[in-house]
Amino acid sequence: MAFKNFRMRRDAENWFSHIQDQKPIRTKFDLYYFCLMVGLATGRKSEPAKRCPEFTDFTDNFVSEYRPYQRLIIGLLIRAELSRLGVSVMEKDEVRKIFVDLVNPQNPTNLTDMGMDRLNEYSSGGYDYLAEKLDSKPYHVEEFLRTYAKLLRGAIEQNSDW
Amino acid sequence: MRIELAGWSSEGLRCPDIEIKLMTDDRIAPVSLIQMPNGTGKTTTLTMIRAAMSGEAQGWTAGKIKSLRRPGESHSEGRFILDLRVDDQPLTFELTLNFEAGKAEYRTTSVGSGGIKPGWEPPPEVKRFLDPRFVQLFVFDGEFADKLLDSNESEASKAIDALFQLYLLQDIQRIAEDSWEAATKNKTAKAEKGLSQRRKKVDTLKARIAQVTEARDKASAELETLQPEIDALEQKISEQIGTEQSLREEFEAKKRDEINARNQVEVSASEVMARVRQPHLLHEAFAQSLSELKLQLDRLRLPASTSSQFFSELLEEEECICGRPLDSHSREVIGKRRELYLAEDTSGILNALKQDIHDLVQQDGNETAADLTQKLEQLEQAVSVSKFAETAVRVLEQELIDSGDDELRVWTEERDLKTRRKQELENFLRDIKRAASSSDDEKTFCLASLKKQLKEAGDDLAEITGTLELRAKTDVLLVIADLALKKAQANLRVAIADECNQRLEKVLSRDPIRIEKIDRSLKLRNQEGASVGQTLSVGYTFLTTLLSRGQHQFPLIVDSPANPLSMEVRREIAKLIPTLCKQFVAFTISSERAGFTDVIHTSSGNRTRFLTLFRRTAGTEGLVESLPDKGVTETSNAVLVEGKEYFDRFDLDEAEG
Repeated sequence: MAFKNFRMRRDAENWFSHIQDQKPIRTKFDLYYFCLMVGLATGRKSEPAKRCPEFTDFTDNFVSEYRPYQRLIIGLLIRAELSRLGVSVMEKDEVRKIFVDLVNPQNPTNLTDMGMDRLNEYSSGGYDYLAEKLDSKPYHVEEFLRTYAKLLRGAIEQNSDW
Repeated sequence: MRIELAGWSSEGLRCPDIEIKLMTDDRIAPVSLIQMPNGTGKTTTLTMIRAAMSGEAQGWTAGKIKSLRRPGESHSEGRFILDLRVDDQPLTFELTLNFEAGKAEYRTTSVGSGGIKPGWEPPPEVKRFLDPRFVQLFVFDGEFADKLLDSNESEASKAIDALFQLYLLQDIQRIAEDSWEAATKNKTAKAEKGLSQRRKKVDTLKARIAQVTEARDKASAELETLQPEIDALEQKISEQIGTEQSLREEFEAKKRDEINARNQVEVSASEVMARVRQPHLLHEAFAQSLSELKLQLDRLRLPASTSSQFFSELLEEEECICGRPLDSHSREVIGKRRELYLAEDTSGILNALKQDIHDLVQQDGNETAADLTQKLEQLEQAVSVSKFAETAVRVLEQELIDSGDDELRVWTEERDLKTRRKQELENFLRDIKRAASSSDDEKTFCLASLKKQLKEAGDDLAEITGTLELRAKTDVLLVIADLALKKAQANLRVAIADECNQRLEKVLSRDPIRIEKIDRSLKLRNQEGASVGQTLSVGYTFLTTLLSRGQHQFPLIVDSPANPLSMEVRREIAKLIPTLCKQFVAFTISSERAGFTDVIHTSSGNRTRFLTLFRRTAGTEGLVESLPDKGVTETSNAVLVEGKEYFDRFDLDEAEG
């Protein structure tokens, strides 16, 4: 059975090209995750294939470094979706419906196809935000990490949903 | 198969009219040294040997053919006859150059093929070894062996490709492409409009891919040499600064600080990244939000203790659990409400999520976003210390330069230049290797994008010319040939390196030098520590190992083997060569004798054939008058003298020739 994969836009990959081989970046998932967390922080999402016709479906599961935090990432996705859909956490049936829509324990990622689509959309939206806010693509990973943390903090502080 | 060179004769060419025999008493000498002063036509002779052997003159231009006529003469033909022995059987190629018509014609004579045949027609079993790309492995100039180890060159990989005829796989690709191109030209386009434009696009993209591939190979080769060069300059700079005891200590301490600081940056960056990967540590709002989610789920009693499976099973019963019969209305309501309950395994995920939030986010003593902030501050500090340490080293260098150390200034400038160049090349290669992007055009350096564009342009052209099926088949063939080539190259390089190392253990038993790997060039283990003699020995060993695979034997025919070498290296090479091959033929000048000829003569068991050839000119009249009594052949424009004694005392001013 084919599962939906983690999808990375080519333009995003190219944007990270200078730091992708620099320690401590280990896998493409790190780059995907940078974008995803900014997407969740800003609530910004976009369809990867519409923003960039070239993309890579690079893995069908969370890589080992992220597996311990897999469910926390899903939890944040659910939180972001609840906010986006204007569902209060008190609305039991609506909350349950979002769980059913997004979570599928049978899939390796524990996400339904829709859940994977949403995650990829937040990652794509996060990349749009990063590319807009930073003047140039990152060249040194140690500088990028500091810039990234500041940018993420700013994004969360500007988003009342958090 | 054993191929030997028995001799040649030339007439009417840039080289003198002469017949050279490399046989003594029906036996081919293991070493033949032909001393020819500069200007006697060594290069022409080597060119003609290669051309006669490989049949390549059939593809020469009229200009190239005319350039081989002796300057100032107007005769219409030149002839070169090459006499080979293949497993002791004669095989002769006669190459006639018609200078007026600009044409080259061959005749071939071999045993068992009915005498003289027009054309270049070696027996089929010999033909594969006489491909021009193969012949250059055993007919070459003295710098070739050195090039095998030069990472700027790709002679080693080309040699393996030539020996195993891997070029045939490239030929398959070329033929397949040519066939498809021919097919598109023969077909009438469904729509003439835009046809030439499409063809042009395919051609442009092909040319661009070739250009970028070449640029990539050059950049990779240059990059490979840059780091050792930078390291060597660093070393020189350190040593120069260290000539004064007090400065040396200060400089070494600052260099150590620089390295430590750089390491600390890496450690700090890893610590930051380890926390960034934990979403709840990225920002306190994420942690708080997850805690709230858990709290609300608890309040909503999600997941409920009852799962949707309970209601599914209930629907299969006749009665409800309260004992009332289940009518259709009740069933419909239960069926709908069942969807509001989570499946058992979904509930399991929800419970696990709550547990994770409890364990990772809410437990006292766990790390928080404040820890990431702290690690980021440490990283900031480490970067600052590293920059400071780097500056301190540069300041010290600058102080010495300012105090008048010109050598140091030159080295530091060179190092900085090379470091910048290295950065440029790395960026350039990254751009070439990056993934394709939709914004790329035909001028991009991204190879993946160019190949993709070519595929699309090819498909487009195929469609308009009705050759889609042929295009698809061509693509499949190209992929197969490409994969086969890469796989064969990788496997063969490993196998050849092993074989060479086994041979090196024998021939250089006292010098433990070994091949680490073969990619474009030969890479030695501890290459920096190897002497010129050792590296050149490896070059010759590599070539002869390749040539002797499968029990085949080929002569080594080399122009100026000792010219680029120091005295010491000459001796090493001269000693080694007769042990590596059965026949060695070298064109030399008098300045190459020292340290070379006597050693090679001894190591060949005193079976070296010495020949001296010079032109008859006004400047050589004195030489003609003092020729020895025996072993002299004179023609209208040259003199050939056999024998070691004359060879050793021949001393024509090199400029004279």
